[in-house]
Amino acid sequence: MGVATVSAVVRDLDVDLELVERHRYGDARAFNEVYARFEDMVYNLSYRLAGNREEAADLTQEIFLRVFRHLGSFGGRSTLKTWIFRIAVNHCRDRLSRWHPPTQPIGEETGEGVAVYADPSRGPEELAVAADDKRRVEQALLRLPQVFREVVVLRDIEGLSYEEIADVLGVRIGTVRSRIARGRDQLRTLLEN
Amino acid sequence: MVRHLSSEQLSTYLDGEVAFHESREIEGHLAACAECRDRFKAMQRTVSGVWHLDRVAPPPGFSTRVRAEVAAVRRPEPTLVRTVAAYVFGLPNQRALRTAAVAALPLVLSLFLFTNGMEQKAGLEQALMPLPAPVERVTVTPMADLPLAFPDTISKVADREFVWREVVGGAVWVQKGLEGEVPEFRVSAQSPQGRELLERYSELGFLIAEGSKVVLRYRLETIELSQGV
Repeated sequence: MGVATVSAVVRDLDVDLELVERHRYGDARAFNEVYARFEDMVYNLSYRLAGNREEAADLTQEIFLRVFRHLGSFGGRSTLKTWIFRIAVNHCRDRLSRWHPPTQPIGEETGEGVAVYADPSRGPEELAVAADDKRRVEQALLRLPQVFREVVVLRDIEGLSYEEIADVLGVRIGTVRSRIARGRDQLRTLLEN
Repeated sequence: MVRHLSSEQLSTYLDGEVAFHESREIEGHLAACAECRDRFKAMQRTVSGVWHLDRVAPPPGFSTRVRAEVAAVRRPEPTLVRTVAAYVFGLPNQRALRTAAVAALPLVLSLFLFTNGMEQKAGLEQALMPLPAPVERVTVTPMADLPLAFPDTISKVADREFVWREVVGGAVWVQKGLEGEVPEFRVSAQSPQGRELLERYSELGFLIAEGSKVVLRYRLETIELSQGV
């Protein structure tokens, strides 16, 4: 297998930049593709940071309007994924600092009309975790200071690498390591009390 | 006095974000220290609890709502005609201006027809003149427009971009940003560390398939991965 074949196999084209280029040239489908790729990710992040589905929906809509307005200026210095996460985290920070805590805490919402993905990659052992435990973890997560909640959500829910988190938050990797460790420690303390 | 592991060490070890040599030290300490082992297990339980949280789907019809909002933002580019029309006809309660614009219309139309007629006359005179001798056209491409070098061959693998380079004794895929760095470790694909790396990022196998080496950042260190012996 030669270099050219290898390149073909591992996808030479930078999909992110191609999408942005199409968006710049007015191809409406390009933004739709971006939306389809990142909708779930942005909604989940907003939900875990806001702790409320209604607020998460509003945040997600505003985030995508921002993404649409600025997509043409995306220069490819980071991946589209971290670029969108950066917009999302900054927007949530901005909005949530002016927003009151949810009156209906996360996990106490009725199941009616609420869609939850069953992750097929999770095994039966994981699925067996009690709903009550989940509710406790969700509530503890919401009580974490914003700065620690962000890193715990990005790492342990969205599965970003330390490098990606540093890129999203605009901080050094050392800061990411320290924040994740402190966030986990605080979360453990909240769960034990 | 026993020096216990820090929370940061336990947390980064849990995430596989410590250097190879450090992970051996942490494993050694955990095997010997019950207190740190308990702390590590407690951290594992906490993280596991977060991992188990369900992903939440947006409400029904949400995508349609967002796409409609975006479509509302998407306005057609203003053209000169649209801008002038919007200015003249969009002016509220300025009857005099609109009347003047409408009154000027016949004058503009007459001017257009007059100049168009002149052009047509000139065109007819030109058509009756004898044709000039054909001139051989030569296209000259300026040197500056020619590509001076071939673009880099770049592959995106394992969320990283690698640039292909020919070096003495073979070829190497270098992760972008690490050009010129000397690898701290050489890892064979058959070694435990190499297998771990390929298990995590199987696409890297494509890059080393033809005997090329790969230089990448992994666990905070610059390493060189190859098929080895």
